Amino acid sequence: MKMEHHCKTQCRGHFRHRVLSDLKPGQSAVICDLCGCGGCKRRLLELGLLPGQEILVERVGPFGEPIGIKVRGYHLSLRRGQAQGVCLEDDRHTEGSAQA
Amino acid sequence: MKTTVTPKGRHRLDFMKEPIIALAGNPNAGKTTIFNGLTGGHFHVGNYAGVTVETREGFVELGGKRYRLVDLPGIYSLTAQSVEERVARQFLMEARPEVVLAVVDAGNLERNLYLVTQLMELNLPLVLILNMMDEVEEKGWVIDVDAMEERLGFPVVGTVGSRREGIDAIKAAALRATDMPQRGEHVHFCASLEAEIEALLPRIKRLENNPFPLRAAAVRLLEGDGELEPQLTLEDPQLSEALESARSRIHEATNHDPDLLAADARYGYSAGLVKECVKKADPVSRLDASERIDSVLMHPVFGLPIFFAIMYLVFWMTFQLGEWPMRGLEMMFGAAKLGLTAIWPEGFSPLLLSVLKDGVLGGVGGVVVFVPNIMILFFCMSVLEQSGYMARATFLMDGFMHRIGLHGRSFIPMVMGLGCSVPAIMAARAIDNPKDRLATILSLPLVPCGARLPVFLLLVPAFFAEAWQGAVMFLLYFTGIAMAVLVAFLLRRVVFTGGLSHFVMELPPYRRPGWKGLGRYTWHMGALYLKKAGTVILFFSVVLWGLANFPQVGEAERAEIRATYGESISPEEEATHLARIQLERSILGQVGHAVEPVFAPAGFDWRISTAVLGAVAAKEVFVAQMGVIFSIETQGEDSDLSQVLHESYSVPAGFAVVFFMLLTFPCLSTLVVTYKETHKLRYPILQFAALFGLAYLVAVVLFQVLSFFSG
Repeated sequence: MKMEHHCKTQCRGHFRHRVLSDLKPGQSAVICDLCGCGGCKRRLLELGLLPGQEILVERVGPFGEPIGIKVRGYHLSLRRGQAQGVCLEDDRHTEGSAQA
Repeated sequence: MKTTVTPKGRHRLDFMKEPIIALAGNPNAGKTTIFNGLTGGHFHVGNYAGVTVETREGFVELGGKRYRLVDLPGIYSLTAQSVEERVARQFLMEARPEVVLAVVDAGNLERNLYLVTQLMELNLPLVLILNMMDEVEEKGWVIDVDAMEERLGFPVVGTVGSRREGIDAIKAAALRATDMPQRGEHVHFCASLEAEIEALLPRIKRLENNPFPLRAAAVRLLEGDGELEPQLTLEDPQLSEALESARSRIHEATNHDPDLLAADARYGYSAGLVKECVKKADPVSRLDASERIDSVLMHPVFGLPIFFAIMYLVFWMTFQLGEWPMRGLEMMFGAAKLGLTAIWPEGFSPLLLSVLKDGVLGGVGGVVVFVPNIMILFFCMSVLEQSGYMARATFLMDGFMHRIGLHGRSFIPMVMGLGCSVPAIMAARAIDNPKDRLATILSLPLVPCGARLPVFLLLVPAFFAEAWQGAVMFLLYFTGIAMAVLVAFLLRRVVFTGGLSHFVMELPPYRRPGWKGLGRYTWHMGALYLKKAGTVILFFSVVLWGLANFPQVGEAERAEIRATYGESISPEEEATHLARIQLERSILGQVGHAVEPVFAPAGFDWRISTAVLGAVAAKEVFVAQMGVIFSIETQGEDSDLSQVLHESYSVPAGFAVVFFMLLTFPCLSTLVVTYKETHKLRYPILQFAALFGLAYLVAVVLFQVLSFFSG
């Protein structure tokens, strides 16, 4: 049973971008934009998830959630729904084969 | 200073004698250790009516003057997104403290300084406390405190709160801050945002209900503030429109929303400050101590088994280890009862003796027995919390709990519910999101608690063949837990919907818990239970005892027994029969008779009805009252009573009773604790009515269906 996420991915105009929930443990990327409903977006901004910031996915919880990341030298966990609202810049290695 | 925040967010200051100093900072920045250092550990908890946020308050002496020190809830920002943030910012704006001590984790400066950039806009004297300097030194970083003070324009102090280092420096700095001219240092935003702020200032200046300094209000409004905007729109109806067009102008010019631009500028400021004033060690890409511990405790395979082992240990300590002091307390109360009977003047009001002995002493005993459980559980919980493991446990369980609509933090209270709902409901304090917390508290009594075990041990052997008993016990526990999960899920989906802002969680570095603070906290929780819940539980226990013992039976009934059973009846037998008659003819017994028709569809007679009603006091009372009703001493062998029940009731009725007792209304203590923890009378009432309804429905359906099939 999947809970409905109140923070739906709303990356307008960023359809070709990857989002944070696409990363696997050990992978890192740079944030390009934040989407999602006001409250969720604001909280992520306040915690320092800003465009240009590098983030590293450290681990994923045993039930596929939450996602544990390292940002600005500290550790944070967020749910899949919120991670879908964090758009990432295309990685150099995957450029050209950007996922839909 | 007593502060009250009503649910609508209005704020009232009852009285204030002393000037106030406030402690503000992120969660996990070590505010509490600084608070304890400054006050010497003496505090009382300020209560905010209507919300579940507690603030600690204590006293501190500065330059011969007494100040009230208020420890605000840990927050990441001053946006009114969470209850904690609302409480903190209302307090800061309305109590206008003399000094605000901003406590930051020096090892995580960039993130911690974000809040400080917001505090700087409030035009209150500030002191920046760089806490946990020892961890910074361990990492090999050097922070230039003087340079930072020079840049910021207000006092900066380095401390190690856990070792009480730097406490005097804080006091000196606080005094200095009150005299210091305010330089008004603040973050500069990008040009288009600054232009809109400038344009807004004259408009806000006219508004009377704005609690913030002008610039702070303007930034807040442009960022989008769920509380300030509606409040000011009341005074200036066109404000929202003006803000909307300002925001779209900014978006057009920069392609970003103002909230992102503001956050970017603040983080830019704090990153710049860190770059200037902190010399970091060479960035060696090795794991720090916390990350090494995490590679074991958060292991993809072993993480969960380790967590379950730790859970089991906590459960074992709370309920097994807690049993020893509990037994000691029970023996003490038993001895007190015997002592009272021994010194009681012969012939002097036996009724008063009975009231004191069984009503009052029995009631006090019933309240006090929970104290060891509560204290041990809260000791364990705060060790887990302070060490940083609680956040990891939450991480591990959150995926699963999210599926049932709750937060990872609800898992621990649910497990504790298997022992006793009272400490479990208090443990739900660890859940930050009020909606998750309510859903957890309300569904917790469905988890089969320890007091239901004696009931099952009486009823299951009475109605089920030995080969089936294990399976039935399993079914009972499974049903109880499944129902709790289902109810929590439904509550969260249907009644307490939304409210997801809190689901971003920090995983703080592992730290050694401060034993002194732990002891103080454990003691505080025990005392809190006794003071807040204990007195109410005691009152109702005495009332319930009265209901089961009045009107008193006496000589007439004694004669009746002799007439029925003969003059040669032994005093013990006579006493047993007298107890049965007492309960049958008491108010409780009479009510039991009266409600018999209500319970008839479930196959209950007046005897079961009476015992069920008596179980409001505590679940295990059901067993005692069945014993009294059937005139069987339950202290010795329980099997006699099981045998009698087997002969007295059909199997369908037995099924109905067992499941009714599994699901029915929580005991008195649970109801009182629910009230005390939620501050609302409607929640214990809802709990009582809904669970009774559920149990009744299940019992009736079971009885009717099983009776139909068994012919």
